[in-house]
Amino acid sequence: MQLYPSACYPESMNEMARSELDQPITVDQPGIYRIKVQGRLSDGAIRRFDEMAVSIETKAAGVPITTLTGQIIDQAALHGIVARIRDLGLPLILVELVTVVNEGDEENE
Amino acid sequence: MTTTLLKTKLFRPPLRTSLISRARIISKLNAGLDGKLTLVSAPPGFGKTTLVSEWLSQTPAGYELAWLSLEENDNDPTQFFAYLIGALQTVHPEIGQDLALASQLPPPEIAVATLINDITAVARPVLLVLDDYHLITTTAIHQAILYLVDHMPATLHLVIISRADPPFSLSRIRVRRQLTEVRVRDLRFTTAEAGDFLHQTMGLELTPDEVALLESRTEGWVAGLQLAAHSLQLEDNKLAFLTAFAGDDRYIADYLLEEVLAHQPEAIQQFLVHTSILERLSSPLCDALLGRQDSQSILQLLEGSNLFIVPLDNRRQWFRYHRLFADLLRERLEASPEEMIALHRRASQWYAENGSLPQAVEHALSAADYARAIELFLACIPEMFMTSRLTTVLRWWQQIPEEITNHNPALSLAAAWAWLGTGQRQESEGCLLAVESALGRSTKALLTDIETLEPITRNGLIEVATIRVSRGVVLWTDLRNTLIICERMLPYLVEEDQPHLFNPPIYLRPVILFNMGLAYQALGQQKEAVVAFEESAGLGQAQGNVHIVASALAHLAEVRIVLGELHAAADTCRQGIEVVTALAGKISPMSGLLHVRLGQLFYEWNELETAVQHLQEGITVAKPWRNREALLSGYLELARAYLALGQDQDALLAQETFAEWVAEEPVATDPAAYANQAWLQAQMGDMAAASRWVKNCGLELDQEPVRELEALVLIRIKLKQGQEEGAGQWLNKLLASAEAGEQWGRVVELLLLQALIFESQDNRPEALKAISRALAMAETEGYVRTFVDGGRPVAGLLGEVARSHGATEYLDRLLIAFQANTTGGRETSRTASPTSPTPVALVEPLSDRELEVLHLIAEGLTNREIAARLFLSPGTVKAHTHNIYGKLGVSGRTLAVATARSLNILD
Repeated sequence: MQLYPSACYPESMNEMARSELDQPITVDQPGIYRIKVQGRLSDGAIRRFDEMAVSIETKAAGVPITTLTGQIIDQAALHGIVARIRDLGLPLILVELVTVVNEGDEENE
Repeated sequence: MTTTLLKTKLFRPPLRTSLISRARIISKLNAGLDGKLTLVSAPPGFGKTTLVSEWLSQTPAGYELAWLSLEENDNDPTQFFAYLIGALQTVHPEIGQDLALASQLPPPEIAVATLINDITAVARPVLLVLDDYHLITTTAIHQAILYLVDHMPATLHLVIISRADPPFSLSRIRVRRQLTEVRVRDLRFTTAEAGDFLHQTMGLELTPDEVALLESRTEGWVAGLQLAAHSLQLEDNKLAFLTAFAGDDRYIADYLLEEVLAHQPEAIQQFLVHTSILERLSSPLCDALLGRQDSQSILQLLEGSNLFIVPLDNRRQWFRYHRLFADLLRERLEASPEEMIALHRRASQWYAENGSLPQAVEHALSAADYARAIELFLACIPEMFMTSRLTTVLRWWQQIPEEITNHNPALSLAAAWAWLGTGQRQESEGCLLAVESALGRSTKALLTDIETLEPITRNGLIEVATIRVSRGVVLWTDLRNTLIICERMLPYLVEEDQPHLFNPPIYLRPVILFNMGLAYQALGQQKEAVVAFEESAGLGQAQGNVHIVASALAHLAEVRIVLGELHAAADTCRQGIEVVTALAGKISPMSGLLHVRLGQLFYEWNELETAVQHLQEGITVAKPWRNREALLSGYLELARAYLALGQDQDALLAQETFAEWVAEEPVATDPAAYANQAWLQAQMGDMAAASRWVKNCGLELDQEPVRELEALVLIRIKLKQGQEEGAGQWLNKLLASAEAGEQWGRVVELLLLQALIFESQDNRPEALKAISRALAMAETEGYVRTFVDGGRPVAGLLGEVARSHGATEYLDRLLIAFQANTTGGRETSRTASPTSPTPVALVEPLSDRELEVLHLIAEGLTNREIAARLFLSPGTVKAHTHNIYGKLGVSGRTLAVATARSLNILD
């Protein structure tokens, strides 16, 4: 599976991608997803998400937010990731489809 | 762990009329057998189970098939493993036998490791299918499966069927190309396949456009196409159906299921909706639920429709609904909650009458009929506890509203034991407080007015106190007060038909007696401890309480060693191992401590090889369960045995592991472990560490009660430091109390130390007196190492005894043991000083490496510097120096160099 460092998706680009997300996704289609979890993932936990790029954002005030970004092959895989987060016991605060990956896209990267 | 298994869960669902050939995917599945894991992951209705069932209807050549259909209640790890073993045993009955016999489930990873061993041992490869894996939400089970995936034996291929990917990363196995994935993109029907299916299988005549419309609206979703086809078969106006279907943007499953259901006769609709509360359907159960007699024919009819139900066995006795369909039916039923409750009640009753209490409890809970649920719950408690399904017990308990459980002390007691069994002490205490509040009295009443309490209140409070005592929380400030409350309760724990809340009081008796034994042991009242442990073990055995039997006998052996009854102690250990194996099978953490004690005894008898065998066996048994008590003793004695055998590297390793286990608890909670560590360090030549312990141990002569074990270590180290004065004071104190308590084993140990103290004070007559007394006491039980470990001064004294009183067979035996002792004994510095007779040659020459180290010592290098010079670890150097000291019969580097020079080993 291809890794997408979160740095490739600046905030503004994500916003753009989302607003222009006019292509619907099907249950068998891969997509790039952004998942946010409240709290700081431990190094051990990050290793358990080795197919995702992980960034941790610490605000001066308030709780840190961990963002996982990466390509997920289909809906069943997405649910597997969400279940993995459930098992961490951290609050899930966002699951977002950044962009649909069409066949052939991967070669262009 | 013996659990009655539902055979239907271990059954590959029989193949139904094939919808369409899946040859494309099946060849992918066959190719995947070269790897380790096949994951079939897709939302419901894509025909996952059907696909795998079709693939395995002819088991791939060379494989044997083990199938397990998971359910929500398999989230209890004990139950999960019972079924996992059950599935594997359908092909190889020997897989998991030991595990199945174990009295409780070891940590899941250990359980898996055991299974991996068993699977590796069988010749024919196994194909293990876990269906509906998404129903598992217990982290411990996921960890176990991940461990299995990471350590997959060559003779196993695992197939996981799930609606979602399992919640652990598969990238490692994916990278190694050991993973085959079948996902929606494989399972969804292509337009061509949809056409074949609609035309050939369903016999529909549709235009290519109509097929394309259905395919795109259902997105190749197999169940959707199937449902649509069913409706089309019954529909006169196909065009109207297709137009409506295409134009509707409702969730497609709802839409289609509604359609299909609407086409069923009223009676069938009702049957479907009402039986949707059942996990599994059989005609007697459905008859009882609906008050009809024709369920058998309805079930046959439904199976014939090939749409709603899945048979669970070949005899067509049990079925289940297709999950998606059951969800929709249940949604309908939820519109009439009263009806649903009535149905759950009837299901509960049927299960209770047919001997399936756990299912009866589940339905009673779903009916919110808590009174009935509690009644059934309490009735199946023995079964649940015997099979260690504590997680299930706690789940039930949590489903009952707090205001009800709080007023039911029996239930709170059940939960308190279950929490205790799963290691959650805080939660357990919460339940105990609820019991006290429900009874309106606290356990303090046992001290103040036990005679006047109502029997039911009294016995309830006794059980609360028992749980508190056995989790080691001493509420009554100290050991003596614990004993007082136990003594107070004991007369009431008798075999009589007594009113009780949960456990009959007689079942609490061995638990209380065991804890009393521990308290007596800690207070040095060994005789009382023996009586308590003996009765506890006897009762425990009669009641089949393996945990108590093993613990009581292991402690009984320990006490007997202190009392100087070595042979009786060995008999106790052997008896314990026998009983535990009979009650709990081979894989039981319980026999660990018994093996360790036996090893300790063989060490004393100088049968070192046998000692090592027992110690290693004990450690092997105790390790997976992280049984600290057994492991601490085990590694400590193992280090000593290796030292005596001259295997210093092994000794060092054992010492390091011992130290790791010591460090698991702070000094405050386990001071004796730290004392033992200090003595071991001293024995291995690290006097600096030993001295540090002496400085910090905080032992005071006038302390009560005496911390005997620590004081013993203090004496030994002080003696080694050359502080005979301080050692002597402590010795006199311990000796007096040991003699008063008739602890003859301890007395022998202390007399030896006394002899050494006198000898180092040049008081030969007193030293001889002490050692003669020790000899007289030690002969019948055959003590050897207590003498030999005393080193050369003891040998000298024994030689003198032999000269003045004549040699005896026992004395000869001891003197021979001295000669054979490869390490030459661990000497006190005084006797190794140049004034003592110097051996003309070493019993065992120094190795090249040791000589090298010795030269560097002579150059004045520290161990660390030597390590750097020789590219060794400091620990290894320490082991070498220890060897050198042993062979030279000295205790420090200066003396080593001096002695080596005097022997012309060094120039």
